[in-house]
Amino acid sequence: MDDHLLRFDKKKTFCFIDFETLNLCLNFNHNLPWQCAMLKVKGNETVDSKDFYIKWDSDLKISEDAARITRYSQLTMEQRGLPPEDVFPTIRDWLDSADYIVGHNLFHFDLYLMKDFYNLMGYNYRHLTRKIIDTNSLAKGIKFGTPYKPSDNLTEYQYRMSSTVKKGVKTNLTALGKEYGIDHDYDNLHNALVDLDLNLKIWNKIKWQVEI
Amino acid sequence: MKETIGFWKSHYSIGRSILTLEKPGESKPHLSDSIFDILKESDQKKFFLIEDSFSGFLQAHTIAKDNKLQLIFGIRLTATDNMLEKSEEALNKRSKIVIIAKNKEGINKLMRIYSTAAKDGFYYEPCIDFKFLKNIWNDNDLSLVIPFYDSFLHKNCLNGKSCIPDFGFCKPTFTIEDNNLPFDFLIENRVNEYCSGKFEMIHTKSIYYKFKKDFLAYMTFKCINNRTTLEKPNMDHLSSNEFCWEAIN
Repeated sequence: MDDHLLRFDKKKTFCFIDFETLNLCLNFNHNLPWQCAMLKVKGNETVDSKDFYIKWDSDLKISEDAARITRYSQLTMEQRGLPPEDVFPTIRDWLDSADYIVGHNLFHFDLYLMKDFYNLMGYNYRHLTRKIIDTNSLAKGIKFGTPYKPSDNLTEYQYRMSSTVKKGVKTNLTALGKEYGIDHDYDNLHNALVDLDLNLKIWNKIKWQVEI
Repeated sequence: MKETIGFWKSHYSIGRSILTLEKPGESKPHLSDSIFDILKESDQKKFFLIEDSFSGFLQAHTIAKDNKLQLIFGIRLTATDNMLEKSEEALNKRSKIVIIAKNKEGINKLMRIYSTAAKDGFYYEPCIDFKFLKNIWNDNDLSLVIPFYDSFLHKNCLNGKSCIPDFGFCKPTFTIEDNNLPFDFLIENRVNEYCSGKFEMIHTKSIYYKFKKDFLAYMTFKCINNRTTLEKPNMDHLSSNEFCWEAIN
């Protein structure tokens, strides 16, 4: 009876995505993603992953806070960094071909980076919005006691939840991971791939609590 | 192709625009652009100035008159069902409307509306209620326009608010904008759905700076006003460089 729900669907493809950036600005005018991690998940199985370091030809520098929090290493960038033109085709292919794009706080951050990345490379990003599952929004909905109902528009619902702030309600990855009792390398969070791994584990809990 | 109407805003709407109302030819290079210079450059004879207060009205009116430009002035302000209700809960019922004056009497009425909103309805910002509007309203003098962003439709659908407008006294016109923001299509769908066969819809473009490249200056200005930094602007959805004159052309 509930076969249509994503938790039972073995065929749908999910692209989990997370960017690490120079700062928290929402526009390429003053911010650029220097790391992009992606997981390709089919049903419950992770079938592929990518961890790109992106080397931009730009005068923008990483902020002190961002460098400290994300443990940015110039040496790693020199060794592994690739030009944006080289990484974008794969990012686009994975995002465009996925049934759903999953991430934490996508609606208020990463989606804007996708938008500017697509636009910079001459592509329209708009079809991505409808495919987004934002675990931050869904977790908020659960904690507020207003979980998603199938009669609602999923994108609108997630926007509503993500823009609502309630005192004392914490939905960051660490808080959720610990609340769900997830075993994880919490000391290495803010590395995009480590974040994504936790994000996937959290999604695997959340999907049993929402009727998607 | 549908005509898109520019809704200009000047720096008199504090923190919302980096355009000025300097006389044509008086703007200094490398400083802020004047709306009047842009209008002259693009050979426009008529323009909509939609401000958040009356501060710039006199200057705009005087310069427009001297330069034989038709100024259509409007105020964007907050509206609710009861402006005297002032609580955190009441904020959930507030959304934006635009009131445009059609003539001199319209300007007088708009001044009364704004004064009342700033005096009686003030709670964080000026606010008017639909009861007051109903009493003062005359379709010959005023037009009610529902802005694309922060309207009751936007707030109810995407921000989880409970704004209930009362349009029993007038026929509002709804605006549609496209600024390449990820949620534009959601609001547009709601506007289309709400207006279908009932209300007129027009395409507009809110203009806060001249060129797309000026977005960085605009963002810097917003951050200064918000006491934040470009590294951490802390402003939701501040991402589109489309709120400019260049994007309408």
